[in-house]
Amino acid sequence: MATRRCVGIAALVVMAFGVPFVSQASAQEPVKPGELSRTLEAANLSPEGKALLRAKGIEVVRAGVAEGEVAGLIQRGVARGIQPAELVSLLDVVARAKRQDLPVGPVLDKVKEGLAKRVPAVRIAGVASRLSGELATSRDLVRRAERDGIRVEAAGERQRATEAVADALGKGVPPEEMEKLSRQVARSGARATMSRLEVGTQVTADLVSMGLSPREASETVGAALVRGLSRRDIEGLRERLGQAMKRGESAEAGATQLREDIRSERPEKADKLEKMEKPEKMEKPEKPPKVERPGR
Amino acid sequence: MTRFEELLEGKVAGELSPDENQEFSALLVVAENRRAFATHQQTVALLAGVERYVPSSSFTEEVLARLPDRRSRPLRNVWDLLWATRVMRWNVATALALSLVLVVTALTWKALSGRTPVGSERHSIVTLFRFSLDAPGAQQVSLAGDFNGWRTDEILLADVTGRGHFAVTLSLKPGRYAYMFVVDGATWMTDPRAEAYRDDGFGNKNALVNVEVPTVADGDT
Repeated sequence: MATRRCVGIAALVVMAFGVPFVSQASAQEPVKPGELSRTLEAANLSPEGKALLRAKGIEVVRAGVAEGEVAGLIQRGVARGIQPAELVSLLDVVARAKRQDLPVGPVLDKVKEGLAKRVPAVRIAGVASRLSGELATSRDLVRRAERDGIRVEAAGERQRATEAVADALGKGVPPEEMEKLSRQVARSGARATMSRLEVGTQVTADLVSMGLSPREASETVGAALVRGLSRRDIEGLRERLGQAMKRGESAEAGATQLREDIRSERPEKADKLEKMEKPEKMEKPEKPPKVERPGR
Repeated sequence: MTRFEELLEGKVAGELSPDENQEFSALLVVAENRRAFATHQQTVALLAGVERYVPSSSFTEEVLARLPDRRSRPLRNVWDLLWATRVMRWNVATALALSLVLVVTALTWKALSGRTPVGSERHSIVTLFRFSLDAPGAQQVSLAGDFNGWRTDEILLADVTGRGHFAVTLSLKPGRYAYMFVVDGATWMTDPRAEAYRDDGFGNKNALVNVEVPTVADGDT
């Protein structure tokens, strides 16, 4: 009797939630079925080449990469005259990243970038593989940061932080410096959030690209994090260092001055700004959008 | 029941007439009857020593009050209604109609969930960025980056002055994007006025644009 009731309850639950769940799942699926087949049919390739790419394409899709992305890569590669075997090596890099549960977006972007710039496939595969490695290191670092107490407050923060750390590693910031930065964020109590790790990492990488050594860059950003400066103030470090360098100071001297300035700044101002920067509040801007110029 | 048993019952109850008493005494000649009578006498003596419980006048009402009231349990009624065994009569037409309802429900749900609410577009984050490049003598300048999958034929810049100052304004979601200009479909150029740069790994330098909250916009236009 009890078993029959359990089966009945399960049936009711499935009926109640099944239809919306199935329909929602189909609504979120952006892939057009057969996109891979259509792309391969239209491609000017030998039957062997098509078969090779079809097999690899299906493998990548089964690994979890959207069929549209796989079809798009094949389409671009063929248009650029990349041989099927070379395209297979590019798809392999993407599939490996996906199987390792890494954010596959940056890897796909790098492959697309390489194809657009007409870079040889071997080189694209090498750069994309290196990026995957950086993403793997970065993912482990972000996981450790979470275990150390850094909070994830909004969806996507973990992935953005992972990509930012990978970017910093790619710019030559050693993992030890990233660990140090992460520990500084973790020690900042209520401000120990993943978005602060992300912004700290981004600015560190930018300061390095401006000519600062990775150690000096992470120390400068670390000082701002420890002091409790707001996200905007931390992002402003780039501009402040740039201004110092325009005045003729070396990057190191500018960074030293920046750290001294940071230590004398008041974090109260930062708190107010921090509240304004919460993602939830960012979703509904009251003012009409302004036009920005990416450069200074 | 035998005659002796009838008389024994009357004897124990004290309801025998003198004639019946004589008859009963006569039957006691039989040893088995004597044993039965003696056993009954012992039982009567035993029961006489037991205190008799007299229930109160409200005993019946109290018992009834403690019985569960089935009328005041609507949940139980609903539960019984749900789980009562029923015979369902169906035919193919009914089954098809039910399937149609399910399909229409699923399609309606899909259509509604896929539609962007009118109001949300107005409130979504829109940050407009103006990209520009001075390329005197260039016939065509396009923009490619993470924001458009590095497609070189998608975002074309317009020569706004007619003297090689190409520009385009894009609405970008918050994030960090790498980009480059493509001059005349072949030459990749780094934005000389970008806020940050990153090696692309292929021997070039990508410009970086950091899209923040719309309210922080303070760049030139």
